[in-house]
Amino acid sequence: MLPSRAGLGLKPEHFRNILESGPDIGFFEVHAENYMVPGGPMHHYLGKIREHYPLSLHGVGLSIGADAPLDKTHLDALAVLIDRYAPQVFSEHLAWSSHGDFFLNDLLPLPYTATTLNRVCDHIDQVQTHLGCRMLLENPATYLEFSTSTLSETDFISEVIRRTGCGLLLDVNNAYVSCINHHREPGAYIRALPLDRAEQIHLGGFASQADANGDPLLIDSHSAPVAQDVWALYTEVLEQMGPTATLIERDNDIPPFDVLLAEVNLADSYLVEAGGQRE
Amino acid sequence: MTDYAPRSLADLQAGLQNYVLGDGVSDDILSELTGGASDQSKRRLHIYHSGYRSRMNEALQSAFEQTWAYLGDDAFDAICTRYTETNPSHSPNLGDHGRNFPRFLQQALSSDPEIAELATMDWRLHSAFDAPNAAILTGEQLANVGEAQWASLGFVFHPSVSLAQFEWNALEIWHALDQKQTPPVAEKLNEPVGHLFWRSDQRSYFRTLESDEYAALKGLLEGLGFAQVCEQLAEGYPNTSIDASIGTWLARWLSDGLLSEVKPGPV
Repeated sequence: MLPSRAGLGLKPEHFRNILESGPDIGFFEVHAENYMVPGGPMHHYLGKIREHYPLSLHGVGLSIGADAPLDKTHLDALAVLIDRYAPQVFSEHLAWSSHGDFFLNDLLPLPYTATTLNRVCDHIDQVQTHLGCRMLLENPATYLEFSTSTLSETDFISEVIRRTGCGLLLDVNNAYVSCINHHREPGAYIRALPLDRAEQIHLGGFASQADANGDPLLIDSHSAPVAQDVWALYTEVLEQMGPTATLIERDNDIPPFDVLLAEVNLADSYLVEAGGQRE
Repeated sequence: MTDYAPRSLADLQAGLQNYVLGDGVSDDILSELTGGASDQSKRRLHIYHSGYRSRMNEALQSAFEQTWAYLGDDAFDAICTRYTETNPSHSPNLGDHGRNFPRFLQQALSSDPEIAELATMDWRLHSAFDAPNAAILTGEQLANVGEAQWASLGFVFHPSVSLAQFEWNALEIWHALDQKQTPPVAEKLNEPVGHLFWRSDQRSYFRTLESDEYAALKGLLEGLGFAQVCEQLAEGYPNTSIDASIGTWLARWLSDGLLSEVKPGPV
């Protein structure tokens, strides 16, 4: 398990800085697909950083929500990474990203029905068996909903977790983005999730665009600091869940390391307030 | 009332994928969405359509930094969009998306051939960066090779090593752009010039090669034995002292980490 500390998404531009300065950060998280390369600096630096920090391996391309069978090659590549880096946790998304031979390299939504529930559960069972570990499932950020859905997203996720035994990766930013986009109350959405099964939290920033009627339409861009509303929601979540490993995500418009470290420290201070301890 | 039956998940995902990869005509998908055929549904669907192109273009910006700098934002963006239309992503790793980009530029921008050469430089450096790790042959290991073996041995090169030949002054252009300076005007060279790409100590490198060193490396990389390559060089470059040159080259190849192991020849 990851420590109940704040962690940071690991970016190549920060490799050397981290190794030279050894910042006090609870853990690092990497996107698994970025390390599906044969060799070179990505593996060199991750190996060195892993010697000093716990690691979260986060998949962004397994396409768990796809109708098609999981890509065995992709699963094998994940198994190799898990064997090589022994991460404390592996997580993926409730979404799909490929169909047939094509990769959209995105996290697309799926309808929530009995059929898709069975499909997602089958895929998660397969992942957990193949990788020999429990995985965490992340709640998605969505812009669309399907008229064919017969279950709410929270009921769908709860049932997946109940059936497969996987854990929850609660992305507070995703919850906020989706709820604003679909006119729901984020606090109620989060309370409807099985928080007792949450083992990790994600915090990121969003971009705001205008919907067709002029309302805000939030995009899960990971290109901005965590928004005030999301910090507020996070502190409510910690009151309910207690201290839980929390990742600061920034994948675009990446600022200097110190700027991200300040966000990590802020999350750490909330974790301490919630009863966590910095080691 | 329309006679409507929900689609299967496979059909729905194929439809959404066709929409994202295609020209953005969404009629096929709208009936599946909560908002139906509203402006709001179209607006939201479009996020996935434009997001795919943005991600692919950003991946190409990252892998083809100097090609991007040479073309400028608008022209690079436009050619990337054209590329992605005919070369959709087939990999979960966005770093793979540019694999066919230099070849595409060769045809799409055939009146400016230096651009495809610039992209080839970018891609070779990118590929060297992620190439498999391998052992590096040391001078001591090479010194231990018995004299009799030299007649038949070859070399296994580090997997990051590759060669390219350019007909234009792509190298000068690349250097200028790398220094944030105005690049020189594109000019065709008097004769094609070979370039070597490799990775050492976690960084990608390149350098230009004289034609005899290019010929030597090309032969060895293609699997020819050392003695065979020396013979070919003696024939092809009668005015060069091959013995002196090959000694200098070998020392440099060793110190640059180009060689991985000695490959024994046929007994």
